[in-house]
Amino acid sequence: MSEKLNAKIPEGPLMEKWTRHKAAIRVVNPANKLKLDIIVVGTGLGGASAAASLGELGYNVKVFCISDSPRRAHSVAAQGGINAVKNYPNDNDSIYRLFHDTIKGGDYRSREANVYRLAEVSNLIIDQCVAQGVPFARDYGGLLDNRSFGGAQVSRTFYARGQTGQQLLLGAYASLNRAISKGQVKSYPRHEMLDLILIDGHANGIITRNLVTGEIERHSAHAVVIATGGYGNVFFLSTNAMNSNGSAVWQCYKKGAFFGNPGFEQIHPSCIPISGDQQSKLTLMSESLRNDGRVWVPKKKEDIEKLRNKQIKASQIPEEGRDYYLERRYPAFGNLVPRDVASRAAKERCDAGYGVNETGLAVFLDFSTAIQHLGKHVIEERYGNLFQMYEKIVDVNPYNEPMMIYPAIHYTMGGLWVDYNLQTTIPGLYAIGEANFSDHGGNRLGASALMQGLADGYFILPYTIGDYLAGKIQEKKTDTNHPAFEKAEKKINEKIAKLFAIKGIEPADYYHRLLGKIMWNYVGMSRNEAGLKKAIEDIRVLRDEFWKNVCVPGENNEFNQELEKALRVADFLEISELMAMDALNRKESCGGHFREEMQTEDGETKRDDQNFSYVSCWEHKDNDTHEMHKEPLNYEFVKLATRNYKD
Amino acid sequence: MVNRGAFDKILQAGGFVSVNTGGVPDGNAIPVAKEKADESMDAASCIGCGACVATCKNSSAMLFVASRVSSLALLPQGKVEAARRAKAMVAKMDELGFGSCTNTQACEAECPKGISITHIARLNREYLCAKLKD
Amino acid sequence: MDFTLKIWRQANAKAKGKFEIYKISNISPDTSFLEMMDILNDKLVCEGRDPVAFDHDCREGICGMCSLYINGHAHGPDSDITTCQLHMRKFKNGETITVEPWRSRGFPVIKTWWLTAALSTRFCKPEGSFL
Repeated sequence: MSEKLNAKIPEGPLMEKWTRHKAAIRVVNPANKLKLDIIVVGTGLGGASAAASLGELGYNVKVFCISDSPRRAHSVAAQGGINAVKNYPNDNDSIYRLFHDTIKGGDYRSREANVYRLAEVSNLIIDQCVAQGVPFARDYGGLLDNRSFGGAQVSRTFYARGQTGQQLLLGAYASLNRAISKGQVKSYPRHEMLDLILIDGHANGIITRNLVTGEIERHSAHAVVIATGGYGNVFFLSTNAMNSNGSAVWQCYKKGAFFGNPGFEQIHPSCIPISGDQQSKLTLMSESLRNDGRVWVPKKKEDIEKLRNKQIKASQIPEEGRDYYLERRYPAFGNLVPRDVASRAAKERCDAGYGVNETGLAVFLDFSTAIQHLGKHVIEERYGNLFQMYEKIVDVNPYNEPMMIYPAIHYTMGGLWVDYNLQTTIPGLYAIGEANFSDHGGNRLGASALMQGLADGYFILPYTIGDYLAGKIQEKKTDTNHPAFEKAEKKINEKIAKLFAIKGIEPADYYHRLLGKIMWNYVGMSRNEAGLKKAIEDIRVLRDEFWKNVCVPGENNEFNQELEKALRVADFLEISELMAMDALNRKESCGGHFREEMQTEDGETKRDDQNFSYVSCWEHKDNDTHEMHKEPLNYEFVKLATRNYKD
Repeated sequence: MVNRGAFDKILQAGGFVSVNTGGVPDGNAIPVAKEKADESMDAASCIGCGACVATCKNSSAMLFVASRVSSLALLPQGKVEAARRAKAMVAKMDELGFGSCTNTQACEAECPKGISITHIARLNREYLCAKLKD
Repeated sequence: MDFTLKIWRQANAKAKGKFEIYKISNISPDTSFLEMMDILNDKLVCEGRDPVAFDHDCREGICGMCSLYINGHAHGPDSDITTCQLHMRKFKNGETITVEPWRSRGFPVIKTWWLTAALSTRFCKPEGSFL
């Protein structure tokens, strides 16, 4: 194990670790905080909450985002909800139960101590958001309402219609705005981080490109926080926003930060199916819909034929002709199995020829039972905006006909490796939210991404970063004329000049689409050794082709969306290779990572705890090679078991 | 492509509840009537796209400002500083060169989230009350 | 479906803008408006012409980034949606579509086109011809 891989997990019983750790770490006094600068990159739930909280504490914070406003970050698109263990419904929920559900949901590949802490602070998040004026759903008595999500048998998900991410982000963004108005935080919208600055091995600043003017700028700080989300857009078609990218994380990796579990991606079971070649992204239909929606395909092949030829409608297929395959295969959890299980089950039915649309890649999500029982108005109140969204895209009214859904790339569990303090292997460089790898193992449970982003930003990082900064109070601000800045800026200018000089024949999107096809075919829902090896070869060929033939029009010193895309695609063409290498190394199936060689007789994942109970931590080496280290996962408190959602 | 930075500036003038992270009461400590929470949510659906301003012959940002003021004023947590908020946000909107509202209702018709101009009425009420107290 | 696009092009807030006309064909009615703009831009890049700059991000109607004024309406002719949720099935085949940025004194134009001189004309390979 690399000596850099010290997870710094505190001693003691699970339930006392965070309390003891908080008492043991150092704090910075108010006067000294004023002397310390922190850079936060990204303004989603993690970045906005961290920047606001750190600003309130008195640090000088600079916050960067690529959009025109912090409010656009893709956390805004999260629909279903946020988990917390309030136990308001009195259904015997507890910190331990959420902890256990998360470890189990992640297929026993996450760190116990981190996950327990996440469950522990979950309740604080709800209180904070309510105080900020987040209009959570309430019952007639005026108290907060809950709904159920996959992988849990209790109702612990708080929500604001189908726009929970939007409302939580507006809460964090409002706090950020307040900090900006008080001068505690300075905001840099339409700025993209292009490199990390290291001085004596410590993170001391970043290089950004002003996306409006093209100016390359230098920013120094005593610590840098990466909150730029995941790299799911590697697949081109995903539920991520068009501008979401992995470049900031990748630059940190190339400067020496380890990358944890790059091959763990989440495929969300309920997205609107692909309709044609001109499509640019996939739209999610919230997991919360599986509270009231039932997933099925027809039992008979002749019904499939008629559906594909549009001779019948789904609603005309009688009850006995329907195969509610999730309820059939997983009686205990039914339609609320975790995402990876639901995704694979849909793929299994479609591969067997039961896909319900022309492409054969869709299953039904049906609300007719719920509408009969509860009435249309209840369904409308719960999911109205999702139904409207579906109808606008597909041109079918889901109150009358079932939705069609198919799995799509949604989230990356992998990310920058961090220790218990959320610090990467580079001192002074922190990673929070989806950008780190820490809490979700091989599969993330629904409504837990919002929880993790806000837990990291509001309640964990503001404490742990103080421990590092306490050692920096004597340190002067870094001069941006330092040779490290000069060197990095020169390198970026050369890279940009190189892209323009190619004057090739294809736009960056062309390569991105092809990369997406390679990734979906070989590094997607189902993987095998031969396919992964082929993916690595194909990616290398495609990368060479990109650097020979990409066409970037315009110039650097202007608003240039094609240049932005080219820089991001160049990084995706490298990240993708590491993802495939990691998936190739892990010869077991766990969570969203399904190796065809490792499955049970009934097609469930087969873990290999003997050989793979570790976090794969990749280190960037010279000549762009990658070396893997292992952080062993020691389960002290949970007994490893095969996941069972059947009984 | 246009610069909508003015919207951020308006919200920075007061579109928040003045609470720091930590030290807040339990989420269920203050009950909120379901109708109020729902109406607050209606207003909070604003995505800050600026269609209301673009479609208004006066370039007024009233629907945008009203959505935030109204959403927070409807909740007990936001009510505390509702008057201060309304005054500060309206003053900032005027300062940044947005026009005044003449009730053409074009904003409501074009709003992608169907935000109602009744929220403008609530903003006007909050604003007047605040001014009367001055 | 085929369309004629009449697009407002302006280099920055101070520059004088003008409409330019583009033809686009073979668009599926299930294609979204912004996907149609992507296709136009890829074509323009391939032909060595300047692509149209427009804001967009989530493409599911929640981030608020997209902001086009289409045929005289903010976010186009359909109701209760953003530009990114607009689909081409809402237009008639052969229709001329006018595309402009938000126009308001509160929102200065950053750009709707790129200043640089056109590159030499080139031809694109069809999608998927590589690998």
